[in-house]
Amino acid sequence: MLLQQLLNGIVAGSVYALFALGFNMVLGALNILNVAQGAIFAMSAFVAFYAMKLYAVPFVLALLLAVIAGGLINMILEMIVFRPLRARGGSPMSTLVASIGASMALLSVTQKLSGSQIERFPFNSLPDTQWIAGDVRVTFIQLLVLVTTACVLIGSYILLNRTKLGKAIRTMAFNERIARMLGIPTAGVARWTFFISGALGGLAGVLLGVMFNSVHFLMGEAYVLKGFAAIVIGGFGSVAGVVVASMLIGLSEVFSIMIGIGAFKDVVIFGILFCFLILRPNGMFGRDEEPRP
Amino acid sequence: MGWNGSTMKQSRMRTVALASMFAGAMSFMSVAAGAEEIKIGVPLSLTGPVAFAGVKMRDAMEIAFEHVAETGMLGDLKLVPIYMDDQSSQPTGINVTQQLALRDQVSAIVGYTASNICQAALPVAQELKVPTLNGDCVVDGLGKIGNYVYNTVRPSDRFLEQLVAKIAAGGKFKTGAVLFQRENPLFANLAPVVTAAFEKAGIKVVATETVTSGADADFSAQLTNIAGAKPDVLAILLLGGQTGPAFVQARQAGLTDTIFIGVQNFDSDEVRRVAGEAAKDALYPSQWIAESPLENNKRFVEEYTKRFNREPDTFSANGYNSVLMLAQIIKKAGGGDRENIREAMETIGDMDTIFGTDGKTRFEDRLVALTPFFFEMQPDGTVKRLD
Repeated sequence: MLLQQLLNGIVAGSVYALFALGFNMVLGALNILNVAQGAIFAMSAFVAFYAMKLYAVPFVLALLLAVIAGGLINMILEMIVFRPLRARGGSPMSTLVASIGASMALLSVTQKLSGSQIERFPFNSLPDTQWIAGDVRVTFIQLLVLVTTACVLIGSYILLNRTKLGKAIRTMAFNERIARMLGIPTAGVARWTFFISGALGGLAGVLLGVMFNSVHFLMGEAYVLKGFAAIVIGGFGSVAGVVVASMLIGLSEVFSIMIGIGAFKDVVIFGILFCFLILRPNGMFGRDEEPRP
Repeated sequence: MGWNGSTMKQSRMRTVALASMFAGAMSFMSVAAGAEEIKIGVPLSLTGPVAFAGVKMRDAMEIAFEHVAETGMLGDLKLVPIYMDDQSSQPTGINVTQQLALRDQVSAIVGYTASNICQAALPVAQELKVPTLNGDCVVDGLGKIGNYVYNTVRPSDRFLEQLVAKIAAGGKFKTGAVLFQRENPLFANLAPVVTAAFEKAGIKVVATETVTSGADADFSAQLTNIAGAKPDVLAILLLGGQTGPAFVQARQAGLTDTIFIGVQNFDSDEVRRVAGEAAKDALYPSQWIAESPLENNKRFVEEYTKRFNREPDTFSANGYNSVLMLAQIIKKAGGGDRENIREAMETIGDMDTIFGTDGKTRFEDRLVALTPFFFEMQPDGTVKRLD
């Protein structure tokens, strides 16, 4: 059972990582805590669901549609909500409040369109295969989530370190004014950052909708707080930090349940968060930085 | 046409205008004089985690209000529902009850979706002396709130005890486990009830696991723990939206031969749609039989299926039935006076219902008197009634 729970914890951690990576992208680059990520997660999952249900679109294509939809929705949010605020010198608090409003609006739309119903992706969207080795069972979708998280991690590293866009994002994360002085088109970079963040949310929404057999308008809300905890524990803006912290959160949840204190699993997680805030406020992989001007 | 012609034309037009206004006023007065409008508060969870049930209740209640009007059973009385959303939240549920009672001055309230909201809001309705029918909450204790609060559903605990006794009678099950949602008072209260029922029936409880919140979707850790104990039967006490995924994850965790038991919410569209084959052999009690040949039930099922392109489930049935019973109470009361309605609830005796087999019920200790039926879920999403 220990091995199975270890696997459960790693899969749970991967789930949180997939969600938190999108969250982290915008927070790290633009200092915006976009809590609408949960709503985008759910909305994108529904895009894929309805594409499959109403138009018999194959799963891979539906997933792609969800990724693009998530990216576009987030990009539109950037244009109409966050850019005007940032242009007026809006504080992180004002962008947070704006993102809460955006989240509520998106959730209302998703609820209305879905009729508040709880759906599931069509049976056999993905192979139903389960591999059993002794006491350990692993399903195809669990493996897919693990592989996808690894690919996203590698992809994020390559994007941020090997591409012009990635370097621009990192420069903006360091100091937006300097980025502008260096000729980086910050408005365009912000737009693409939001697109990538939303696309990651869409990817996470579909995979988790398949894994947990459930697509509903509130499906993303449970991840927002834990995603934020992963970012704080891992270090703002650190991709590796977010993934490691997500694994820590997933494993601590599962092991709390395993040893019989499952009722207090959230206490354990937020206890860990609290310890980091006190002892290492920049998180596991965060760096001490000058405050942004 | 000279000046005289213009004057005549103007005069004719004035006459026509005045006659029209008079006719309009008369028709308004005749409607006002003929039909007494009775405002009915309908608080439901239309947003939030329980919205999947509240929306179905609202859909069914709309049909019920229409059917009441079409049958003319209330004569000149017209029920005017005022729907309000409690957002699946207790504080909002209390607020909504107060608004309906004090601001909207409703004659009665019918509805409520979630047990935790009923526990908070029904005492407020009692305090404000508004006759109230609880249509969906099945937590224990709602029959004792007071003489203004009656229930058109029964608590789940007795039904679950009877189900456990029924399945234990064959001697097939030796071990049991419980998975329940801690945050919800209904399930938190039912967990010890089903544990005690297992023990009384000689079924040893080998695992008890909790799910913290109604928003949780990943039960793999809890189900792995339960699978390690290899129970013959597993009581799954979760929200309808969580039950389907729990079935699937339980089978994936290795509980392939374990029988699942639960409460009426197994009979929901969500569970059927989500669980698929994983729901095979799951057992639950219910007071409603979808295939019941009762006229009221057939009419409800037909209209609901036609209008919403899906079959009704336990939530829809609860909503429809509560309005049907309210209409009979209002008919006995003869109007919208709250005290008359309260007295009618107390003295009404036999009422028509879509539940059960004979289509009749009455209140006993402010709870509707009903016999549960027991159902077994089939892999194709249908259910089979057990003898």
